[in-house]
Amino acid sequence: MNKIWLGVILYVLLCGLFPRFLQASPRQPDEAALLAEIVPSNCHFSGHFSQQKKIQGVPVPLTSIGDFYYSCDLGLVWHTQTPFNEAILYVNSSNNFRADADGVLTQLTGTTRYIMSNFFVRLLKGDTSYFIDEFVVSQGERSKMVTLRPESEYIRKGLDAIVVSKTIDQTNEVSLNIEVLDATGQRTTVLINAIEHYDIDGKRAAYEQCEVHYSDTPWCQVLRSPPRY
Amino acid sequence: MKSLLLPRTFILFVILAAAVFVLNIQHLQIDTNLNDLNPTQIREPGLKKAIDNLTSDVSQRFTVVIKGEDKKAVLNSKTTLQEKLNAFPELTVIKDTALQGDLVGLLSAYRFNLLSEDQRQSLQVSSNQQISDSALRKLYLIGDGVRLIPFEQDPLGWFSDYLMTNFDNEDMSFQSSNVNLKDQTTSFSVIFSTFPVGMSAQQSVYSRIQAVENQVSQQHNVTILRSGMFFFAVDSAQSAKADIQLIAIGSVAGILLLMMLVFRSLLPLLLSLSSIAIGIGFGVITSTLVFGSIHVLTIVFGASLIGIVVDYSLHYFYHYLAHRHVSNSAHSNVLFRAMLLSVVTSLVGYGALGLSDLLILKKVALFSCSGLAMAWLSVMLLGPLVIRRPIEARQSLLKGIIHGCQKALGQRPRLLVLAGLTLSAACCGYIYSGNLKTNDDPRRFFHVSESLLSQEQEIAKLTQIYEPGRYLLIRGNSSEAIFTALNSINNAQGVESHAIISVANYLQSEHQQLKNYTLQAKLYEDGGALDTFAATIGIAPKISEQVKQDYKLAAGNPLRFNELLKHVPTLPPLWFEHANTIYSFALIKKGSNLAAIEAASITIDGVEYVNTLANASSALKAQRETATKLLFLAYALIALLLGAYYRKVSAVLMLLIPASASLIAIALVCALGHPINVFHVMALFLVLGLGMDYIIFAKEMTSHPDTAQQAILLSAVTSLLSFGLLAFSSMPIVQAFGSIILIGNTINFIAAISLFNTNQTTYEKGNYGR
Repeated sequence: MNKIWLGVILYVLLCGLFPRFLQASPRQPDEAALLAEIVPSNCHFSGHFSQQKKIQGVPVPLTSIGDFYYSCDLGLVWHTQTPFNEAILYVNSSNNFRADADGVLTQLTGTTRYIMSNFFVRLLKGDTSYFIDEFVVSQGERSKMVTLRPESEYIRKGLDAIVVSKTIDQTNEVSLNIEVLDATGQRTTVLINAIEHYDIDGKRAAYEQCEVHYSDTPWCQVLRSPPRY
Repeated sequence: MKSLLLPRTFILFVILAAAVFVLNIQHLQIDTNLNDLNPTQIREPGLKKAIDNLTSDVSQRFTVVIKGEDKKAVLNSKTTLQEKLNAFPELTVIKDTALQGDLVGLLSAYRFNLLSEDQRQSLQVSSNQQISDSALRKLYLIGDGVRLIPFEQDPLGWFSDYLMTNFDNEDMSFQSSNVNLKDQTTSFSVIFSTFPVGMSAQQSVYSRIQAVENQVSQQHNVTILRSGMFFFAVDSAQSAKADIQLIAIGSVAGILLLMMLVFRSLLPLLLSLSSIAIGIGFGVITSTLVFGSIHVLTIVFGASLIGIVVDYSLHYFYHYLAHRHVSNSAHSNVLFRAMLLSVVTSLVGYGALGLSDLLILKKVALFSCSGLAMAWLSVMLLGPLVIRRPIEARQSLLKGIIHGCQKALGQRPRLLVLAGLTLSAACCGYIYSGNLKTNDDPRRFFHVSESLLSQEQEIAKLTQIYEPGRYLLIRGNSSEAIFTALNSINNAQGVESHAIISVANYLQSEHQQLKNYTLQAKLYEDGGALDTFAATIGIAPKISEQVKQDYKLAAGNPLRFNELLKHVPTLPPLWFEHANTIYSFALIKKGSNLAAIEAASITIDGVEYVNTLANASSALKAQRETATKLLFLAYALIALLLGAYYRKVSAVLMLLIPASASLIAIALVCALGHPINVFHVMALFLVLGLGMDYIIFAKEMTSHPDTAQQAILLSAVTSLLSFGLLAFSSMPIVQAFGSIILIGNTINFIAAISLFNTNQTTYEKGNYGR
């Protein structure tokens, strides 16, 4: 009888342990596969954005809207239309500029450079290996949603997490939602939509396409030849 | 009964001292500090304290570098290793962000005193409306909006901007934790929260660190490298420990064998071993009392004392054997005179080491002189107790050896003298014709394991951003003077921007901070930029009022570097105040224009360019040269002593023996390709001391040449055994010392046994052997 009870207890224990064992090593989807679902597949595209930033202490969210043009051969023009007219030009990790409404160019410095160039541009570029190296990539609350947490403690001082999600509506239009939560609790949401892809090749073609969007500014020229500025 | 009073009192004293020693054994500390080999003399007390403080800080830190092919594995292994090292009660891992975190925490309390150059200019040229608009625009931008302190404390974002401009990650000078994406390497620093005291505790921590590293390395398939003075000190201590064991075991075993072979009695052996134990024990006690600990190299050198100390008991027994038929008082006088001269010459030799500026040699001198004196005293006081029972020396073996030596070398003493002098002259010519190579580089003093050396080199390549051993020392009477000097250096011709890392990289001068505070009135006064901004964005009035109130409270309270050091202990002590003088250190980035920095330092008041390696080498060179002069002085003093004692000029000529031995030893070492350093020269003092010991003994015993020669043979064998073992040490400085004494003392022995022999003189006249 004792042996039977011992056997039952052992069975119950094993049954109790087994699911825990399974929980301890869940089958995490591959980080590259997760990222592949949300990063753009094209190398040259433009679109619109709307950004909303919630800051503790500020009664209303700060909202801005604008348009952008991205080319992996040229860089990014991030043009804010309202509440003020301003553009940020991201060439590479060491050459970033702000262009104000009067056309005055100022070089960006410091951590701004890191956050924007290394994160934002690489997201548009679809640089999955960068995110795998620099972030802990995990599945979000739903499919095509990814949470990125910085590996580096230094980056974590300023940035807590980034949640990127991709949605495709009934008309097959793609929009990208990026939510940035910084270390002080400040939340910024960027919605990218009206994305238009361009089937072009080479830096010259990318520059010409850029000029289509921003012909009345020197911004595309800045992206093409940053050392001159 | 009266004659036994002194020995018995001495025995009682020794027993009491031994009991006190055993009871306090836990307080006995073995020091492994390599700085004792640094000859640089700092006579300014404040500067000495500042440098000691910096050196102590550096010696209590080490760097760990992890390399691997897989970046995730490298980062995971870093976390695991940091956790494991942090679990050690002696260690604290400096987390990647500890420095930045601590700095940001403290600086935020002084944020109204801090402005970058751009911000100062902007405040001077911008209107309140422009400042408010700029702050508003930044809030809308995804990147520029990043804040390091909450919005309510810094609504205009000026402090966040200041931090981001001044403490960009690549400029965090004392952090070596950047992850190198290309090489998949990462590094971090560890400090000793409690530095392990003593060799065994240090070895234990070393072994545990190694075990943890091996475990993490295998678990994550990564390579772990480390660098720090601690590892070199433990490694050197281990080499020294092996040397101590080799010398002590070798010497004692040799002595046991010899004594048993010759005397075949335990009593003489007991006296010899007791004198060794008493001498070395007393040396340890005096060293601990004077220096607070005993240095591991002192023990290495001290272990060679065994060979010298045993000489006293040997001399004593042979004197007894030679004079046992002479009246008691006459015997005592001869014995005392010979023994006294013997110990005095050895004390002169060892005592001369104390004249060196090297702390380690002072320690060796104290240990040896106190040990020798006590061992001599023990022989003189306990000897009479031992010889109360008759002792006999088995002389056939020794006689055979001596006869062999004399047959080979001493049959024609005049010829031997001539040959010796000719050889000495040749060696002198060899040395003075430019064959004497010297090298005073202190790095050649140590034996460092290949593994540690290669790790150090690789880590230096990966993480070191400063010129090793070079820095600027800035002295001033006020903090303003220091910052002014630093500013002058930074703006000097040929000095690149960011070439110098100093307190100015962490903090602005108090004067500048007060100016910054005044400038920020434009932001935080009533009707200032903050009020304009608050009205535009609609933030709650209590937020802006609180910020303005905080600004008012911060008036006239600049942050001082000492305060910064107190709150950010991970910062190196670049600032030291002592008796109205401030000493500040500035480090130089690798690849900087050193010539320009050195030239600039000459023209700026209070700035001194320090090259520690060059300084140490030149100080060691000066030591070597001074020691050579002192050696000549020692010869002169002993010449006077001999002249006064024997009242014959010819007695002074006996000094030619150690002098020749020294010349031949130096020439031979040079010919073998070893450059001469201060330790070789210091060993020459012992060649003089030991040589005179043999010669005086031989001269004093000319009436009993057989006995004298046997005593000298035994004495030489024990000394050569001890110093010969030193010559095979893995530590270059010990090897240098041992090789000179081995060669020099062998020549001393040959001369003493061959030249002070009336039998041979008789033989020369044609009577020996008939």
